[in-house]
Order: sequence, then structure tokens, then C-alpha cells
Amino acid sequence: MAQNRWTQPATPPPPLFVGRAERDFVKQINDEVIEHVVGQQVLYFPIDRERTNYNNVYGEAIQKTFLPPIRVYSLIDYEGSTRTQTEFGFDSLFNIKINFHKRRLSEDQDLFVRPGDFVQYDMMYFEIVDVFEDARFLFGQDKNFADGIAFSVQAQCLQARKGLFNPGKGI
Amino acid sequence: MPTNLQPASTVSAVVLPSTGTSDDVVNSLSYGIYTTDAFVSGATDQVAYTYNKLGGRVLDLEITPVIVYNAYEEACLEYSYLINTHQAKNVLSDMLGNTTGSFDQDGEFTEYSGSGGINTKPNLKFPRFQLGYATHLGRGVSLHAGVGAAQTFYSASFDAVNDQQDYDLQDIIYSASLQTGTPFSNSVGSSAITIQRVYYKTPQSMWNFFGGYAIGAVGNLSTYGMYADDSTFQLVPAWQNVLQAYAFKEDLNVRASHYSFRINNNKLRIFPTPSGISPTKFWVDFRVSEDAFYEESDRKYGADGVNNMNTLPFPNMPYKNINSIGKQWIRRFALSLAKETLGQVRSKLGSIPIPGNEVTLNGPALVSEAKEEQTALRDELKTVLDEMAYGALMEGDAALQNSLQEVVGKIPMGIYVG
Repeated sequence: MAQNRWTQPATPPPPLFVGRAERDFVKQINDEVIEHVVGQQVLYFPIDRERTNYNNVYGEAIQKTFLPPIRVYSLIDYEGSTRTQTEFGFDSLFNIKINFHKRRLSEDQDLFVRPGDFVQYDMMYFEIVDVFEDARFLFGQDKNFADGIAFSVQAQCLQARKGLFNPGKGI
Repeated sequence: MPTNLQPASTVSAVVLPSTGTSDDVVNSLSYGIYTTDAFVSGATDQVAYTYNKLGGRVLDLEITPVIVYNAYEEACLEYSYLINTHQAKNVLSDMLGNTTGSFDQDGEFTEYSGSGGINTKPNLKFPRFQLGYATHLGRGVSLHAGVGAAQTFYSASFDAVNDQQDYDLQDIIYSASLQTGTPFSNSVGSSAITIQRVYYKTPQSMWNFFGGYAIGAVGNLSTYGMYADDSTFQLVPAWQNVLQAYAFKEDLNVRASHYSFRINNNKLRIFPTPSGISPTKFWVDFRVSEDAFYEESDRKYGADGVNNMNTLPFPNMPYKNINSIGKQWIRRFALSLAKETLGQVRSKLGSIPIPGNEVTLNGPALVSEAKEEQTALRDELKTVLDEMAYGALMEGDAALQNSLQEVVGKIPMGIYVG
């Protein structure tokens, strides 16, 4: 009697509805919407960790060395300001949330969003204080199906004082 | 300095370029029915037209030039289809029974025995007007009338038997058909025969001698017409002679016959009962019912040839024979087809996620607009063509003549003043 055994195919077929072509189409639309339609952009300053002199105990560096900044199109939300009262008066720092299109960053610009990096937006500098990937699936496919890349990366940013980050003139 | 200001996408985005590439056209076509240099040039230009009309200079169009090339070819085929359909209405009645052709998968001739062979384009010709369909029907009518039919009439005779009044003509003729040498040998079979005429023969010269009007009678206008009446010659109109001929014939057939008959289900009953002496034979003219699809082997009449639009010898309309009116229609229709495809692309995913949000594309709107445009373009062409149908042209000419007469009728008549 013949055995009726299920055998896993060596090369599984692609998803029927959303495959490579559809994912590339989504990326193309995202690129177009973010860059040509919306047009919001930040200047991303990756901190050069090899050349920055960190404090051995606290891990912080007063003088930061950064790699050449990169223009990145993204979707940015203002999230109000954090106001604190000090003995010298009010101290108001803006908060923004930057939504990066991750495939555009990683595939085309070889850029990875990290906490501690800085961005320039609206003539202000912001420090990335938190980074988290979008938990949304791409039409039901988590990142393990969709090229191993999360759909987007969100960076929570806090305005940086000049004393904290000062890339100098000409930027 | 900031770097990567305009990073190139490592994913090959599908975006329509502003111009087409003529070298890519022929190999990109689904059917490849149109491949001439003129068509390639037109398809290449269509890319630029589509790019500009759909806003490619502002936003991306997620289609490829191949889609546009194919849309352009489809538009040519659609135009050819509509024109050929219209022309079929114009000429079908005159082309019924004409030579049809064999076609390949593209709708082009592989065989055509009509005038010009496979290189001809009957759909571009202005056919002779021969009342073809009416003539065909007329043949059927004439068959029943017993005149000028395209079906053979046979004659057969049987012996008159003394005191036998009934004769089964179907059986008599069927038996005769089994004999070799008869004109209708083996042609009856199980077919019903149709009796056209029943008669018997005696020396016809004698009947003509005694029939009609006796030789010795003095004739005038009311007797034998245009003959000498003594020394006076009377003139009579032609119809008078014709009517007299009919009267003479009827006189022979009816009054001088002595016999009459009745036929029911091809069984003949003769009145009065024949004696078998005179006449000794009775004759019938008959025909054998033929199959509706019987084809005459010795002449072009039968069931072969064009029977409807689907067998018309109409290949695709050549690109070079599409005039400027058609070319503009094709551009517009191809644009609409490209728009529909763009709409389909943008419709597959209802909404596209973007970082922190999602966008809804205008795919359904594009599809809807494209469908409406295509319907409007088809209707526009059909409407114009219907107004130019051969029958409509004739009506237009008649209306023109009537209007002309009305105008002329209002011109004051000249009054002669002496």
C-alpha cells in the first residue's frame, strides 16, 4: 500500500496574493509618497562610535564625532514640548516622532536608526532617545515573510541643546 | 557635507518613462499582429502621450512601456473589429454565399480563393450591389412557382390502367429511381417528391389545330385579333395578344383536357376513371426535396460560402489603411486601456501602509474612468458609423433630394407678360 506522506517542497511557492512584486510595489509607493508627495526630510547624523571619546564609567561623550550626515525622507510628527521650570525660568524642549521607511533606509541608504544618533529637523537638532519597529504586518505578513525587514522604524526624538550636539556652521 | 541626497533605489521600481523605445515594441506585443514600422512608431509615440496625459511628469505611473505598446495594438484591433462589424452590416446581404476564407490565430487569411487571394482585403472593398440575399430567396420562391428555379425538375410517366383511379406517385417514382439510366436515378431514396404538374400527351399538333379558334372563323378584334378581317387590317395592342395566348393555353389545359385529378400525400386520383386506352400514359413533373445544405457540384449555388458575419472574408484592418480619423480614435482608446491597467495595478491593494499611516490609491477611480471612456469611445464610433451605413446614406440622399425639391418648388414661376 502506497504511503501517503506529506513532503515539504524544496522551494515553497510564493504567497498567492502578496509576493515579491507586491512588496516591491508597496516600497515604490512609499518612496514616492514620502519623497515626492509629502517631502518631509531630516538630516541624519550617525555618531561615529569608533572616533567618539566616551566616558569609561557613564558611557557618555561630551564631544561627539559624527559621520557625514545623510538626508533622509521620512514622516515626522510633532508631539508637543516638554516644559520644565527651573530656577532660571522655563525650559521648553520639543518632541518629535520620526517614521522611517525601513526598506528605503537599509536597502538604498545603508542606514540603520540607532538611539543616540542625532537628526536635524526644522532648524533644530534632536537626539534619538528611543527606537522601535513598527509592529504592523504587511498585509498579514510579518517581517519573517517580508524580506526579514520590518515595515517601518519609529524614532522618538527629543530636542538637543546646543551644548549637547553642535555640528557647527554650514550644515 | 550631507551625502546620499538622491539615493538610487535598489529595487527596480516600475515607472513609465517619458518616451518609448521603438526597438522594444515588436517583441513586447502579445499578439504581434501589427508590426510595421509605422505601427512601431505610433506605439512608441503612444508612450509619451500616455506619460503626459496621465500625469507622469508630476507623479509616477506604475506601468511599463510594454503595457502601452500592447494597449496600442489592442486599440488597433478594437478599431478594426468595430469597423469590420459595421462593414459586415453594410455588405452582408450582398456577400451571402460568396467565397469565405480560412484564418489563422490572428484572424489573417491562410486561405482565400476569392478574387485577389490571401493578400486581398475584402473588408476594404466596396462590393457590387447584386441583391444577393433577395436573389437567393427568390430562387426558393421560384422553385415553388415552377419557374427559373435552381433545382432540377424531372418528368416521369406511368401507364394508365383500365378502371384504376388511384396511383401512388411516390411509390411509382421511387421504383423508377432504382433503375439505372433514369435522370433521377438513386436520387429519391427516402425523400418526398413534390409534384409540380400532372398531364398527359396526345398529338399536340392536333390540339393546336382544334384548340383555340377554328381556322374558318372570321376574325376581328374579339376573336383572333391582329389578322386580316376581309380586306381590313385591325390593329390591337400587345397585351391583347398576350391575353389571347393565355386564354389559348388555359383552353388547352382545362377545357380540352377531359381529365382532372386530386393529389393527397402524393397519391394521385384521376377523374374520370381512365380506360387505359386513351391516353395510355399519364405524366408528372416533379422534384425531389433536397437537403438544405446540399451543394451543387457543377455550379456556385448551394449552402457553401458566407452565411453570416462570422464567415465573412474579413481579416484585420491593415495599419496603413487606418486614416487619421481612426488613428486619433486609436490613440484615445489606447490611453484609456493604459489607464485601466494602471487602475488595476493600484487597485489590487486597497490601501498601502506607509510609516505611521496608510494611503489609499486612486485605482478604483482610474478603472471606473477608463471603462467609461472606453464605452464612450465605442459608442461614439458606432454612432458615427451607423449614421454612415449604406442604408442611412441612401436615406440622407433621399432627404436631400426632397429638400431640394422643396426649395426649388418655392422658386417663383416666371409669369409671361405679353
